[in-house]
Amino acid sequence: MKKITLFRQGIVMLSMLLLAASLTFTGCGGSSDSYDEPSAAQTAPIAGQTQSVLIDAATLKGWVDSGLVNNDDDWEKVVILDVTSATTYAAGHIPGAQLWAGNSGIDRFDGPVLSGNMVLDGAAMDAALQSYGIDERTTVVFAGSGNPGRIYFMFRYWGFPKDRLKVLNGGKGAWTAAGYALTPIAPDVEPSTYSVRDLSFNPNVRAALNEFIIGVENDTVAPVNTLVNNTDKAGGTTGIFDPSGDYVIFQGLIEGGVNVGYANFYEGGSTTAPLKSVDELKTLLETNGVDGSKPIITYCRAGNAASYGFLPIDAALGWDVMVYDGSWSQWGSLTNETEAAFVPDASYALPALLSEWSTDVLVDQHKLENDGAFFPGPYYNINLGLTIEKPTFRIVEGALSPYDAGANSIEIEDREYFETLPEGGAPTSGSGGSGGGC
Amino acid sequence: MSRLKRVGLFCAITAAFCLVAGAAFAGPTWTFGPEDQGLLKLEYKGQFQLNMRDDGAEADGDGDTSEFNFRRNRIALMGAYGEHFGLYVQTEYTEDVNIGPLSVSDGSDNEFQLLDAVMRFRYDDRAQFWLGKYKYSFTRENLEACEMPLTLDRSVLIRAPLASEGTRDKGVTLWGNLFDQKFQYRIDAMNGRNDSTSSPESAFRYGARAHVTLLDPESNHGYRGTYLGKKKVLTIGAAYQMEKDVAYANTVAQTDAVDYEAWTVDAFFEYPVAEVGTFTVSAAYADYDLDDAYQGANPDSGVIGQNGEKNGGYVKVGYMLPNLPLQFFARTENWSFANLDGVYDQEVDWYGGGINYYFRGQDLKLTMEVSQVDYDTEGPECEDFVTFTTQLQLIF
Repeated sequence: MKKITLFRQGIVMLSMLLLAASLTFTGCGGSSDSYDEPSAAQTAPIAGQTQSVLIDAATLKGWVDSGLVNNDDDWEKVVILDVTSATTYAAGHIPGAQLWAGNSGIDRFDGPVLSGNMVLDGAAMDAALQSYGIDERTTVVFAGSGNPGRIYFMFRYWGFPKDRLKVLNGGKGAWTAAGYALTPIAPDVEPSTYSVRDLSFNPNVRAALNEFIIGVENDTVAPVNTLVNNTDKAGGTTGIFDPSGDYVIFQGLIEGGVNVGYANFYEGGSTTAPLKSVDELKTLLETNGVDGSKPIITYCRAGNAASYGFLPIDAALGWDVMVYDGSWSQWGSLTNETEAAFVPDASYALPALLSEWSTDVLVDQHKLENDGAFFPGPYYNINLGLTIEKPTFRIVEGALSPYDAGANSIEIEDREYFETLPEGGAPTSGSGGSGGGC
Repeated sequence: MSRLKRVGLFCAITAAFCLVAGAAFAGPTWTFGPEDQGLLKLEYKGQFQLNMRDDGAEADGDGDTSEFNFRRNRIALMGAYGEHFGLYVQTEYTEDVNIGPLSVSDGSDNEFQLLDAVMRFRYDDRAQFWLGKYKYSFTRENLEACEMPLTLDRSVLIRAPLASEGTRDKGVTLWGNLFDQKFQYRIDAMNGRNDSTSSPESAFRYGARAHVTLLDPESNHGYRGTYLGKKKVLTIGAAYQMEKDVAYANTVAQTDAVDYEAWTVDAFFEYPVAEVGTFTVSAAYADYDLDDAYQGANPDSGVIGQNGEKNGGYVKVGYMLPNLPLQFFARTENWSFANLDGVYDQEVDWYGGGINYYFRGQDLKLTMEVSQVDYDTEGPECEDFVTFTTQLQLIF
């Protein structure tokens, strides 16, 4: 019995020694082995590893040189989209880059009103993805001389995660500034069968008309006008609909909104230059009263300049931000006023059943000339003798008010597309959609 | 069969398969089959937490964050038939978790999963064969029961790289106790990295673990972080794990395939002293090696980060009062990561301390812990933070 007791005492002593030993190799900091930094420069890897949406020219050059662009053999692929005009593209583009020749917006009813340059629907987006050979392996790079923000926004809306979207910071200018050559040769690309149904629908980056109205009425959003002269009567919305040269009914600044011109997001105020640093972007917004505490909604005339503002806030800052694709061409068309001081005739006003959609009551102020003084409320363009675009309304049961369940018609349609298998029932390559069959 | 006999058989079978795991008051039990040889037991296991962290919220990510949530939210079905077969199936539902181990996110990562599904065949105590999905045999910390750690939880930094299921894996294990339960061995063959196209080869991950346990034996497959003074334990263990061609150091060119190798040593000591209390000490060191793949031209994302190439360990100490079910604990960890959030050779120190109060053993337990994470190199993605957690555990 005594022997056993001695044995146990020995064990206890041994355990205390073990404790002392263990304390020497863990805890108290600095005891684990260290690692060396790589000696050779690493080529920035592709999806899932480069956290930032913004990439530099050297990174893209590495991907081009590695044969990743438009490749159909390996398990990673890069598709470069040059959002520019056909003429500019033909004059020279980054090797392997494809011209974004498709629409950047289409006419769609958003709740009660037909609106121009709205987000592409599922069929149009699928056609674009497939024509560029984008598939489940693809990281998409926006690198050109035009506005990448609009297309970036639509890719985000249809569910592309940030780690599969890259933007060449500084565009094509950054490429040539780094000494890399352009080419006039368009690549020959094998189309894919990829679909937005293979992704996860992400409508949180788009502000529908009804969402914006509700947000403004309840002061739960931060409107940012990225096309400053929208507040000017001369800023106009000509060209959104035929005939060109016409204007919406009224002008002004959305209630609670601030003006931050899109060029201010870029170094030197040029959209062909790189984006400002994160700290500078924060300062820019904060000095304009936007601190990210409420979801930001960027808007402009037709949703293009709005996406110029959306990209840096979403990609660089990571703040909660949406594009209001209807923008002023839509917002400036919704009034209940029927008299000659406001509209050419009563048919321009909202039908009585749609009266809750009026937006002129949600306008803070307006200007009458560039850099001029602000005046309260909206300004009605009929008073300047301008040609006024007549809105096209529709009355749909379940969407008579912005608060009705069917009010956000575009996102309802798009979700239905996402959740419905294509005709013929054949699934594509991924996991999206929840339709039955097969 | 008399009720007394059924209870006797139940005890024999459950002891053989370690199915009840000390949850003496938890869950209903059913018997079925000839001679009532079949047993089923159902349990709910919940750990509900209030987490408060001085970081992660607001626009700049530096604001205080608070959250109620479940750390664990499980339903377990345990079964046995006769003396040679057992079954363990466990589900987990996590919901909108915002405060993670090293970061705060916007949550919405709801997940329902079959956490464990293991068929257990037992020839005798020397040779037992498991197959299915369950914890792989490597660190002691990972093998400790989730509901019975000494501190608030197990280390979040001990997960093996490129394992297909985090703390669990699918495969087979042969294990048993020898020499009057003083020695335990385990041999695993499991999936490891199960990707078929992005890894160089679809090889299995092999592991072996052994321990020597003196005083009262630890003879179960799972360990505990504390035995609440009911056992005197001294266990020293070691393990090794490897998988060939697990990742590319150059994913673009699909070249420079690397192997995975890891080893660990650990020690656990718990000793109750009459009228003084129970003392617990536990420590481990682990090294996860991926042939320095992080230095490659385009390393696979799995070879870096929290579960990438790293080494480090922990020390835990505890003291439980002799006449009150109150236990004090402290923990320190030090880890070196090849690359964490873009920082090479990042070192992370983790300190924590708190109390457990056992209302009804592990079935109803209140835990409070305050912890601090210190990064050797701070940056936007790695700022030091403090977390205070209150947790109520219920096994029912």
